[in-house]
Amino acid sequence: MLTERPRALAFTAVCAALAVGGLWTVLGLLGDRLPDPMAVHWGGSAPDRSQAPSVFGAQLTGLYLLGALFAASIPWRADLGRRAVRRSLGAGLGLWTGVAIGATGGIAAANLDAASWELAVLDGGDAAIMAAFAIGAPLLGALVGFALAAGPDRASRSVAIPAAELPAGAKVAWSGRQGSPVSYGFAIAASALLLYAALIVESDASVPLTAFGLVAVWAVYALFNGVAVTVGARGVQLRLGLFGWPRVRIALEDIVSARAEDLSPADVGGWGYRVGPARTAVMLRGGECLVLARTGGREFAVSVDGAAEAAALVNGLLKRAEAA
Amino acid sequence: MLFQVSPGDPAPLHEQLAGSIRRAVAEGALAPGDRIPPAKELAEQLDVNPNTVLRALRGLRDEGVLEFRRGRGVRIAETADVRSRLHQQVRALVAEAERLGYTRADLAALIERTD
Repeated sequence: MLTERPRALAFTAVCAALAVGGLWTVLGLLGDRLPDPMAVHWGGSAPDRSQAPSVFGAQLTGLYLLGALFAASIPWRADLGRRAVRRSLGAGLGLWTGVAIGATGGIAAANLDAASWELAVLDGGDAAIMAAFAIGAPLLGALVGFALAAGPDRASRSVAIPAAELPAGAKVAWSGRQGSPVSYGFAIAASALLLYAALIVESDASVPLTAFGLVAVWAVYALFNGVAVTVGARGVQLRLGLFGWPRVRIALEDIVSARAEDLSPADVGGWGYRVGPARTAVMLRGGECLVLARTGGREFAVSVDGAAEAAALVNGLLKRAEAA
Repeated sequence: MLFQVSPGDPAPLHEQLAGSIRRAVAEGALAPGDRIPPAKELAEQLDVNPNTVLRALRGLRDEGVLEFRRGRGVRIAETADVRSRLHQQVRALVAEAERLGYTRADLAALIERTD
């Protein structure tokens, strides 16, 4: 399953139907057994916030659809032939759908037959049902999505790069730069979310927390808005972000070979600086990456345009060092 | 893009390096606004003296191919491609004039008289 775009889209549609359809079916069928407004948030066992069922439904629908739309765009941005991509899509969307269903079921169960929202107290039985919905539904969703992602893994589109022919005595270096198409959008969206959260949550701690959050978000932006890569006598050097710091340097002696490979964020665990079991990656966008096989058996990958040219130079320099 | 210099070549290293950057601009491998690595890093990777790289970059700045911005590094200038082509034509003209026995002063006088 999930190997073709129509199937992945159908899965997304089924998930959306389950989450959104389920939500409005529950609100409709149980309408006369739910208080209006109903409790939507609890501090301990006592409810501390209420919303009209229709407002609750609309907010949850909007939030859910944001995630579902993102999931629906994945088949166009990544290769569904890769199992890692299918697993991210399947488990991620399954989890998200479970969260929506869990919120619907848990909140409806807690409010059921309460005379008013203040009386929707979470006693022992209700708390257990709420926990079962809140934990069980996302877990089940993620497992189902993960199972649907099964199937063969298409061989990665890895290009073996022959060594560049370096003229005797010539000194050659390569430089390339990769911007990040998502970092600016991420920083703007995260800042807006933080400011919105600060406005709706009334707490003494919200100003310092929001300030801290904004600094953290823009620090991530400064670190990952781009990467500059050079290849030459000193090996492969990366300078991260706006300030060209921190740097990562891999000496030629530590490199076995270089190649170019199409990798997506799903292959390496997401965007940014990713340390995986066999591979460390600086991933700013899916697509062409310079991949270095290191002497320790690990790999290092960086997403950068012109990776094939860089890999050829690395291999050329390695060949020359070997001949010397 | 690739930077390449050959110590065995009769042309000075800084000229060769400037040449490879001009060529990258002319061929579109470097576009206006693109950044050049810091001179120190480029010198380390090319295994040449940092002064050689600085001399090449300053020369290109004076030609209007590069822009130096404090704290923001070295970039390809907005009008680099036009300037770069003009400078290449002038260099070719000077070489041709020298081959034909004209001095640079003769050439300058010729240009002065041309309308």
